[in-house]
Amino acid sequence: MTFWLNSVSVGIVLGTPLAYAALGELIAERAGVMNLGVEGMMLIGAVVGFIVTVRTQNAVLGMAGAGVAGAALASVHAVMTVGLRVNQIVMGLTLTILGAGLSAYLGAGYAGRRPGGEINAIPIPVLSQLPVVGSILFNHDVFVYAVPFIAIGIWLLIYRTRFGLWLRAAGEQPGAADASGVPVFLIRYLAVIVGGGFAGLAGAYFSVVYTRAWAEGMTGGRGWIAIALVIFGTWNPIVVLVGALIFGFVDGLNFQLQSVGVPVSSHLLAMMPYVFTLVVLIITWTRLRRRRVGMPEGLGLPYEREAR
Amino acid sequence: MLTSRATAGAAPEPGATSEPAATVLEVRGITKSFGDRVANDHVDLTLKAGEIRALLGENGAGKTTLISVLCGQYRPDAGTVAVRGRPLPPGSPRAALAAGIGVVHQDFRLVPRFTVTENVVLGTDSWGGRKVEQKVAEHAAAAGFQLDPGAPAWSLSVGELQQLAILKLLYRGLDILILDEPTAVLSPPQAAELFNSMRKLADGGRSIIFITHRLREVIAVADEVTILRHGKVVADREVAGLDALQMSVLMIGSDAAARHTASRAGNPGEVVLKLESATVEGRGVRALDRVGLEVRRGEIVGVAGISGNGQNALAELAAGIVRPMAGSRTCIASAVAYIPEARMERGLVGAMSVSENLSLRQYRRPTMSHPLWIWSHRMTSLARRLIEAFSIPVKNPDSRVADLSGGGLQRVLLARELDEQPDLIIAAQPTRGLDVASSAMVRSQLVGHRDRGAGVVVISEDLDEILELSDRVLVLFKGAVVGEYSRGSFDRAEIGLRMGGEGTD
Repeated sequence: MTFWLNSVSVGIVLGTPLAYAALGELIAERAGVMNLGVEGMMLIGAVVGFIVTVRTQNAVLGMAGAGVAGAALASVHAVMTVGLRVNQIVMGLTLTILGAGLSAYLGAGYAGRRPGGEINAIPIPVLSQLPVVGSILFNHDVFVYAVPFIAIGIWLLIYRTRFGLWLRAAGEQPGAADASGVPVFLIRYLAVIVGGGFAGLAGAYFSVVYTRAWAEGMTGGRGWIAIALVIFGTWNPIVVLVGALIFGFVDGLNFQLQSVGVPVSSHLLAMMPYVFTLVVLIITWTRLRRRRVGMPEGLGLPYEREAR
Repeated sequence: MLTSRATAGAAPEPGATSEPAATVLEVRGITKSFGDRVANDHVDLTLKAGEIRALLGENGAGKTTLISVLCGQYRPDAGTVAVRGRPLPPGSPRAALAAGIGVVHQDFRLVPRFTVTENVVLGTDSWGGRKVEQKVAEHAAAAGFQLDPGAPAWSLSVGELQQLAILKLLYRGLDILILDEPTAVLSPPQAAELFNSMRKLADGGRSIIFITHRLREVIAVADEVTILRHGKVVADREVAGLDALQMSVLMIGSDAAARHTASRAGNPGEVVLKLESATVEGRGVRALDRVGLEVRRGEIVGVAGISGNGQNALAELAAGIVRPMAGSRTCIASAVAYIPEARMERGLVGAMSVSENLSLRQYRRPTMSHPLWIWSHRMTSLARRLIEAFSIPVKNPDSRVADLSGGGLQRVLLARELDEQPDLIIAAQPTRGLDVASSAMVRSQLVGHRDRGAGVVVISEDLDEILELSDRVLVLFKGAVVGEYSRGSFDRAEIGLRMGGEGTD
């Protein structure tokens, strides 16, 4: 019983950064810009968040710095793909490589150090005393508590506001949006940059909040999982959040199984989230092909006003 | 590029006498080039309140460029646009909208996944919701449109999409409406209905610019007409007193007889292609439903119908690219020529040269190649011969085919497909988007090959073209043949009705 309780609790913690990264990517993709640089932005967020925390001894400042760093890297993507209409896939891959290299360089002297500032769990009074669910759900840090509200907030933003309508239009039919007077370029820039901020936060969640250490390449491909989650969640923030938590759980199961000493190679166990990603993508993709909802039609296509 | 007023004024001004109606839109000296091609050359245009002005011109005359400038999509190289005397900042769709200019684009520019309401309010300060749906429904009712405000745009028919695009402009209170070839996708009865709506809107004080290249429609609905040729205004006058022939001379610039290859009747022989209750399905949709078709040597069978009613499936089935799922296709032709609707996607290889494209049907012949190599000088000489014979507008056979214009592409395609003297020719939308000279060439080639003894299928949305060329006409609607007529018993009105799915037996 405690095994499963622990797995769920760890799953929630591990799912949270995935959710931030995936929700950020969702915003960018809803505007029609695919950003495959999530992994790179997460790494930059992780290292900058850690450095700022070490320097200021303040984890909140660290997290804020991580968001800004992710957004800064994303703005490179925005300028290149929205402004200069560079191929989004090539640029995204470049961003990942750039983020990995740059974060290793910046973090060179920080491996093995302690952050000095912490974001601690805040047990919610009364609720955290509940049997079973209390410790699983109500004994976490503020980023975990915030994530469902952020997902719902993004849903409301997308479907219940003017900005959301414009965002979706920019992602579906930028030509139609432009002809209607929607500032397509501005929206695409904003979406990519905000999305990058989320990825930066997600990265720093690993280094500052969760492991409280910096190691090169520490996000371990979770940026890619976040991108897959957006597809899995059919570009719906609520489904994306649920997906992130499920992945977090599978990811956590790996650690839990190792700690109880299951006689399976730890390398195989560590593969679980990725195998799971593959399976889920296959299922989602066949589902997507049959429906009229899903991928924004303008996703990945640069918009040029005077294209002929 | 330095712009200078090369010609002595674009067109004679239509008398500066004081008119009762106020001028709402005044365009002066608009010039816009793409590379070294001048799409608009000092274009002037005025529009008065309550007026329907036709903007007439051939494909490539610069109509679409002009309206793209008017709606702020393009920034002109020179010239000004003024709305009610106030100059419009160039290159700003928002400013054009704010000034009251709205465009219904040929492709409607709607978001398929949005509902009717979401499409209507996109770009205004609203996002939708119950109350707004109510308002949209009221506007639709006032315009006489039957549109469900909650329905997704992808579920609407073409006619409804057009109403939606117009509703979007009306909802914003725009009063200068520009309709870009609105009838291109409509059946004749649907077009008549659109003309009624346009007249009603104009009577309500709105001004309309209506773009077309169909003379009949100008006479039917417009008060004034501006004719563009090669980017210049060649006429600007009242429609009353003009007849179709005068307009076409102005539009084309030469003797309009060029348009009429005026085919004599063919001389039908043996059957080269026979489809018997052929059914084709694609992606779970029935594209063709038990179609029967017989094509004889020496005849042109015209297939009339609005795009999307099974033309693609029929063309590919007739050409032997797809097999029928039920029914049969019998073809005794030894060579089949296929001129697809999507010239660039299905007909030619854009990244390859003109000469390579021209050799695609013949490169395996011993005259062209050895099993291990291709004799490039023979390929080049074939290309030179065909470039000459089909007047392909290219100097060097090695230039990329993608750099040609629509007419040039079609000439390459025609040259390649017809050089082998095929027994069966399938031509889908063979003149769509072509200039007059190229269209005339396509038509005369088709007629010439028919007279030589080939069976020809012409699939076209242009009813006039079908009626002019065909010995027999079939009407395709929702994948089924809903009418068949022989030369001599063509009834334009009835065929038009059937194209729209009306007119029962």
